Amino acid sequence: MLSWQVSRLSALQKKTIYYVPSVKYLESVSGTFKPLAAEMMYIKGVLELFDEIPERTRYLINVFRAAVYLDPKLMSAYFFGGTVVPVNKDDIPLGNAFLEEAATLNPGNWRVPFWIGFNYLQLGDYLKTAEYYQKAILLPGAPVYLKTNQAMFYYKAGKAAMGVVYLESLSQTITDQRVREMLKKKILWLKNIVFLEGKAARFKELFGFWPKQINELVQKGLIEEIPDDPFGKGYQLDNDQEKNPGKIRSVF
Amino acid sequence: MRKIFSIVLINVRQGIREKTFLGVAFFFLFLLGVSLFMGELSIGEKEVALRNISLSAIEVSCLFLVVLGIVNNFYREKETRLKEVYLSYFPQGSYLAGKLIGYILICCIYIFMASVLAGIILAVNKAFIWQFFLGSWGIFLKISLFCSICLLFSCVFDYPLLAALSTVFAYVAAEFSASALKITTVSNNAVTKIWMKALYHLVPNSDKIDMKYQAIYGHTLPVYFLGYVSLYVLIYILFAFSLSVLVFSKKEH
Repeated sequence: MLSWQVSRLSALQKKTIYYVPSVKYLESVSGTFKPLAAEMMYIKGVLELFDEIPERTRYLINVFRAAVYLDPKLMSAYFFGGTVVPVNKDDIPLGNAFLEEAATLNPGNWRVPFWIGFNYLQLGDYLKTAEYYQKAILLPGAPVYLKTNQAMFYYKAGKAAMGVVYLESLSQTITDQRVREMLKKKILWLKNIVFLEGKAARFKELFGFWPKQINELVQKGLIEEIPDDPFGKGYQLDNDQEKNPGKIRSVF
Repeated sequence: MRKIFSIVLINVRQGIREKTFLGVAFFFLFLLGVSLFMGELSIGEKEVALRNISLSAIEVSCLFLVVLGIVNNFYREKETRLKEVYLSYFPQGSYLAGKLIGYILICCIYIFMASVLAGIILAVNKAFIWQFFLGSWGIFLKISLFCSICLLFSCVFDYPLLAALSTVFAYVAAEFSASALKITTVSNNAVTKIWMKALYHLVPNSDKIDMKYQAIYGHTLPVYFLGYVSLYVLIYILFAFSLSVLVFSKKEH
């Protein structure tokens, strides 16, 4: 009875304090057990992921930040802190700031810039995505698909010409025949887009307005025919011509 | 030499049979269980967590073995007057050398057994890498050093509790010596800096000996590094042992 009463009272007294000690302090008191302290901070972060915490994102990122400062090779802590904790568009910049900071601790790992790029992808910033994927590609161990995916980000950002330059320089370094074939196809795809965008710009110069349909380029004799789309079902003008006049898209 | 060997043999036999050894082994098994549980919680880092916690468990449990085992053994022989019997036949230096080598061997046996057991558990969980044993070697060096320090404190103090606590504090000092030195780098006081640097080199430096981090991530250490670290530990052991002999010879037995 007394035990139950004490438990009830102590439960009332308990108030969870969400606090992360300073990284420098943790570093000083953990001695040669830094990896163990890092592991404990990491587990703490994982266990608190689904708790209702005031200022959740900042707090959890601080927990994972402590983990990576104590053990810069703890890759899952970068992943959780940078990409799992930020759950909405307002939080993603916080996740990226953490990853940018953490990248200095583990500069040789391709995953960190890849996750930053992934966050930018979620924000719809394709040029930034391509920029960070480019950084990831240059690091050892980066998968080949990252290299060829770049073209899609340049396409989505409306910078097909940059994609062509990128893929052509990449194809010089690739020896695998299958990858080279795939690159060739992607280069052709982007070159067609660059070609058609050039013709649309010429159309504007000649007639003073942008074409409303891609067929108008053929009808006005600027091109003989619309080239085949090696990936999609064909090329067309961007649906949002007010925002992206003269931009060409593939129909997927 | 034969006399030292006899004392070593007596100490090893006695030390392994003692309840302290069994108690520490059970404590290690408990920590190993904890490591399995923590490994499950450490999403995506299970292998690293298992290696990390296993090595830490070996080190902490073996420190208990040193602190409780050596102190208990040393003072029991004093209380039961067994020491007087030994000293009637063995020279003081041989008696202490036998004790030190005996306890280093006990720790070696303990660390080996614990590492093999942890290695089996790691292998079952697909987390075993041979570099794990490099971490065990680092722990062995560190613990051997603290065997000599524990022996020194046992010779200096008349009370076992003081000797045990001093050994623990020396271990803590060794662990934090690098952090303390780092903190003083921001000080403007030159005397503090020099004093701290001198103190840093005087106390054993765990940061120099420790190989847990490299072992956890499977990094191989160069042979010359292992050689230097082992030499550092050997010199420190000889230094602490010489002090122990000096203090021991000044006391009445």
